[in-house]
Amino acid sequence: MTEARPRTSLFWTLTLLSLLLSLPVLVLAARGAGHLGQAFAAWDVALNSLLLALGGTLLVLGVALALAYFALLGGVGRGLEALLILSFYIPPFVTGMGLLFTFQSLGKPIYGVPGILLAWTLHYTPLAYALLRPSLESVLPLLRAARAHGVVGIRRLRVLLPPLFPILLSAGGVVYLALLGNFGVPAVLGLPARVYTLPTLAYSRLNSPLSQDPLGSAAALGLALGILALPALLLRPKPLLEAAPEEGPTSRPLFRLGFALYALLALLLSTWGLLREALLNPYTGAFEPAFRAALDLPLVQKGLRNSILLAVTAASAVLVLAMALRPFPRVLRQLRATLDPHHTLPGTLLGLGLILLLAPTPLYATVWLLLLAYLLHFASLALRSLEAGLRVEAKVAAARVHGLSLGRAWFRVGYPLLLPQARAAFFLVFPLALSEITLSALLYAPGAETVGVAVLGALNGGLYREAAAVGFILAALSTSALLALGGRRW
Amino acid sequence: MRALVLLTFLLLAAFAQESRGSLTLYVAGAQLPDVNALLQGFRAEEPGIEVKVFRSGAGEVSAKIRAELEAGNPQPDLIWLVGEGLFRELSQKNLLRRVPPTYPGLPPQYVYEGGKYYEVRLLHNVLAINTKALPKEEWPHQWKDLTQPRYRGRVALADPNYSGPALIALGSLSKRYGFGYIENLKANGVQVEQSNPVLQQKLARGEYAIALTNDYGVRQEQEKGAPLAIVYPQDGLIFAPTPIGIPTWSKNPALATKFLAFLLSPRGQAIFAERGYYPVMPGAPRPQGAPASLISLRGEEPSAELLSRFNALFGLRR
Repeated sequence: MTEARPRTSLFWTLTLLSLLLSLPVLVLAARGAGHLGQAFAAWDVALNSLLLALGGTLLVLGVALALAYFALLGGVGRGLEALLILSFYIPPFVTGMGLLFTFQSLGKPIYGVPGILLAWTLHYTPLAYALLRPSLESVLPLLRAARAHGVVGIRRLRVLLPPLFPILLSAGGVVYLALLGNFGVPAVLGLPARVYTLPTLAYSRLNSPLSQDPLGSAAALGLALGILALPALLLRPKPLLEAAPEEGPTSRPLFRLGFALYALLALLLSTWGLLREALLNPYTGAFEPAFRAALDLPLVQKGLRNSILLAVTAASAVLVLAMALRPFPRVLRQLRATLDPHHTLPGTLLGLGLILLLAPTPLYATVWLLLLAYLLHFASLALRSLEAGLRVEAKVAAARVHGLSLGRAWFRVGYPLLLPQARAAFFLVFPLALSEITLSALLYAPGAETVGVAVLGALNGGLYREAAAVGFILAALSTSALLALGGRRW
Repeated sequence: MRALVLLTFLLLAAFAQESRGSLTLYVAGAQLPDVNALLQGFRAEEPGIEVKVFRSGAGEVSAKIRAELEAGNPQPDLIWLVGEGLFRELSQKNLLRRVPPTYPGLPPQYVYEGGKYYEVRLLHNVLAINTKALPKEEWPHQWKDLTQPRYRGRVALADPNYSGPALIALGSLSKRYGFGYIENLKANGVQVEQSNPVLQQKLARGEYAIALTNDYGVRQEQEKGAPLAIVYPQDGLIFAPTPIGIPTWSKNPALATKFLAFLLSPRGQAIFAERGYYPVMPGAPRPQGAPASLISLRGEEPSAELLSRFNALFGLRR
């Protein structure tokens, strides 16, 4: 009986907190509901979004599965894998811009659907690969059994796919949500060819000189986006425990070569054009690096400064929150579950919701609004990565047996053991926040621009060379986070 | 732990960095480097002033102002747009602060409604040609030439939803030649690009042979070595008004007025000429390689219905 009281009050506190945290999405739903008619009028764009995201998901899963197969047969190690993962650390809209310039230099512009699908495949395949490889490893022995029964060639897929189905479904859900909510790639490659997705159309509506009620009609599109995302939310996988890597028995160099070739080609496609555009004068072909001119632009300077500050602050803050809650797993799990939608649902929803909620307040048009959005968006990532993994409770309990208070036990024993995980969480959030563009394109204000906004602005303003230069710098900054992650010490 | 506290303080300090004099400018019809050149000139005369800039296409800038007005929290201290539509609206609602027109030499036609808003430089719509793609004898001479079959699929303009000059061009041309002219353009394979600078980049790189675009951007690309030429159409080039004014909600009207005065000063006017615009002051220098004076017809924004028709015709979504 004495225990029930704090439990109930905890329950109510958490419920109230959940309600408060979901306010942006609730406001969006309320405002958008009145304009759903306008969203229905854009049904073709909704269908387009759905088909693009589904097609992209299939492509990503297919390529990732093939790569995982090559990696397992070729005995690909951490080094080569890191080469592949590099592509994931180049922000999606930079990948899109890189493709744009690469194909332009080949004389074959790649706007529209093919460009979007290619950019998504290059960027998201490493993610799907990381999710699929452990499972493929465990079912690969089936192939040997299949061969014994005379099943060879393409028919082997019928042996392999059924046991992989659950992981394909949940990995597919993750990729689908990412593609559906992706703003940067369709903004760079779709808008010029008038290929619209819901996030880009919502952005256009919000900025339309024609609309009588830009916020309402954009909110309705956000609502439609939420509805399309709903089925995939049910497929979210539980926090993954990383499988212990086992060296495969066979190691066929040809497969390793294939893997390496793909990883290199992916990197080359997305960076070749960027570098070329940033380094050479397009009219004379002379060597004139545009980095200096790009960094001289006040918008770029301000954007870089704001983005780095925002990324460091947001990553540190969500990490501190996750660490503080780590001794209370129930609260941690509850809060993570409440915040999950802000990360998994397309960022357009959160961005529009925050505008609706906070436009009349002094918070509007300041960098604090961006910070709030980033905290809401990235918190679940950090909480999730501390929720899973190493169990330190037993060791903390042991420390308490030896007479340490709860706080001291955590500070002396628990947290030090969690440091590697904390570092991983920080460098997971940092590059994503650094190159964030979906939220910041909606929420930025004069004086509170992000570097992503600066790049999009330069691109729309015809400053191709400066945009390419900043894109390249951004890619380099993000990948250095990967290197920091690979380092032994913090 | 101490490092963490220190870090927090450093971050707070960095965010809180705010200078004393601050001006928020919403601007369309000028590109980032243009705005930067003007701000640099202004700061040389008024050191220590922070100017926050929101720069985008006229469509986006006016939509942002409307959305902020609706939310009751408008931000700009100074508005500089392409097209008079929003300014007339603001003036009717008494939301513009009159600045007495005491600028010696400023021709009266550039002072609107007794000083509620001003013209500080001149922007025109012209035809730009890629000289490598089109030999001189094949150049068009009039807007009407663009519907000729020999230019099929080689002409482009900017998206009027985004670009102010393109909106004015759409309004003027459809008023002069009827919407049928626009339909003929579409039938002749005319393409729509996002913005004028993007259009000019693509023109310079040979993706198009002809562009219906603004004059200053073409002059800037010419300077960088792009193979471009300007044709001033014989049936009248289009002057796009680019009014600037101070709203009543401006938090720093004195500073905004100073910036306006700077734009009309000899230094400000010279910067316009350097960036390829025609200044409004009679004595100011002209842009390099441009005629001493241009004869143009004043352009107007089209109605919302006409823009919707255009969007439907070209498959643009808004």
